[in-house]
Amino acid sequence: MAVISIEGLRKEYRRLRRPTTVAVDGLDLEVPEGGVFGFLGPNGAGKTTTIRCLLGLVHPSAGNVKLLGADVPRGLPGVIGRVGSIVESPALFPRFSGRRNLEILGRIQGVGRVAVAESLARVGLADRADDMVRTYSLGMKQRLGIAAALLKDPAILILDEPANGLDPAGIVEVRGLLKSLGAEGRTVFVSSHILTEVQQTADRVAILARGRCVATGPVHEVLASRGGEGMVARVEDLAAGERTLRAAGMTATVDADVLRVSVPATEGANITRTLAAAGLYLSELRPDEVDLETVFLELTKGESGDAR
Amino acid sequence: MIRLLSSELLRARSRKLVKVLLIVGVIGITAGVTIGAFNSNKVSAKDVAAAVQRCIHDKSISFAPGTTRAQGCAENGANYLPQEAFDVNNIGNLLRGTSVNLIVMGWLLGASLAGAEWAAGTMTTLLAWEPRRSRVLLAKLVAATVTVLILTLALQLFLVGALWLLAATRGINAPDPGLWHGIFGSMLRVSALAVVAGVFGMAIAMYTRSVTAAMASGFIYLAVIEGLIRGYRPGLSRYLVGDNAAAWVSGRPFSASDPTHAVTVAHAVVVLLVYSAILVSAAAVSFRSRDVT
Repeated sequence: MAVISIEGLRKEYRRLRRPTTVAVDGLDLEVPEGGVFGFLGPNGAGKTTTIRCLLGLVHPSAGNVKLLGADVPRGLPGVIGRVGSIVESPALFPRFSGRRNLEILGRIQGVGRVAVAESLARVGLADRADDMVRTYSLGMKQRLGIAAALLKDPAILILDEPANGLDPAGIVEVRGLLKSLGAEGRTVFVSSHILTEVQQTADRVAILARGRCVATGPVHEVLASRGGEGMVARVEDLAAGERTLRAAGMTATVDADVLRVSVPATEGANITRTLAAAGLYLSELRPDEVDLETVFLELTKGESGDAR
Repeated sequence: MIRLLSSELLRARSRKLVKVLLIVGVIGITAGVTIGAFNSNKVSAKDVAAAVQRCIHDKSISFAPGTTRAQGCAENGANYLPQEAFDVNNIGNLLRGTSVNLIVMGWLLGASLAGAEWAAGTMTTLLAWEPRRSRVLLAKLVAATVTVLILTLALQLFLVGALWLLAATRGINAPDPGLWHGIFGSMLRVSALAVVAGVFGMAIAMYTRSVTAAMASGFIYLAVIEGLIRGYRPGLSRYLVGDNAAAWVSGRPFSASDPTHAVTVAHAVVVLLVYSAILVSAAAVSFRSRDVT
């Protein structure tokens, strides 16, 4: 079952004396239940606008949005108690303590003080819970936002750039938290521009460019769809290696300080054997894979806008 | 709805502004009454009787037809005391005199309880917990009403208590019949008007999404627009908030410019309620239809 289902979503912002901005342009997206779903796109691609549409904060110009099977915005009140979210940076009262902020929110859904304390402890803020939020670092505010999102014990978490402002240790913490939440059976829908994080955390991704989804699916499939098919080999004498492999019927080319060989990954042993027989010994042999960043940049080349 | 209201009340109670207004109010009242205590003197029943006699024998003053000199001097005898003395019967006038401060306080609180949400961006967070915007607005209005009512009543009670203490210890403590009934009626009318001001402030802040805009619009209306209307269209003054507010607080017909167009208390109630309904409706339509970005 899809926990998020978006069909033909379009959002235009009309402004006086300025051209209409199309933030989301016919977006179709399905997010299955469970696991971590990475929602990627350059600035202005329409990620935050999509999240705002999901939460009923902005009214779509066209299209249908469903969250946990409920039409948004009409059915949203029936499911909002199972949805935790952070939109952009967590917005909380700076002159209230972290605990008081969470208590105020918790009352809306009948969440008590014990759950507030547990949520604060889960994100490592128990010691600073009674300090005013304005004294928190950006990373602490981010963690408080996650604590607020976790208060409802949600079935789905919608997090907009949750690693924003976190130091490396914080990023690792959040990565672990997202993984554990996904492993608990919850759906974690996370928008991010830190692609290495998403690659390490997400099971599935969708890549957005100019308000449209340009790629979606399990991470390995998205990578495979854009990745090189072959192997990368490194030997001391690259020219000799290229000649040897070509003589053996393989397509090999020198690329900087490596050889790219157009054979399936299962042919690795054949490359080893062929080169060794010619007295050329490998110092490296690996599948010619691309990372998410490469795919992302390729798919979103030149895409950047000013939509929110 | 009860949970949402409970959350809004906790939010209102936690606001620093509420505490600051309460403290400033208490300090202001304490300072004012302390100054009054220095200028006031304890007056005995004998002193009052002597002053009344001086009044009766003063042929230079006259009273309204039907009022005997004894009756008139019983009310005005304090003017013939040799020393200044605060009279407990003046509490009602002082309450009405300080009502403007409480009405501004109500407006500020109403505007702040809504406007701060927009300034801090927490409306997004709130709507991610309760997406029914009509409920959110209603809860905010009720929370503002309760907060303004409690705060203004508390400050007025403190003021009345301090003034009574002043009259009892360093003034004239001979209350006229019905004094306390009148005082509590005034307190309730002032607090009710402060609540209306809070509703105005909150509705405008919800519409403009800004505390500053809500406060500025109130100031511009009262300082500029009402003045222009009184000057150029005096016949319309009976529909001005100022005239209607004054009639409501005083509990008797009022007109700032043209006595032939005096505003009755019943008229004031209707006009103030209609204006509140219009502003709240505009805020509700705007809140429901506009994006929260």
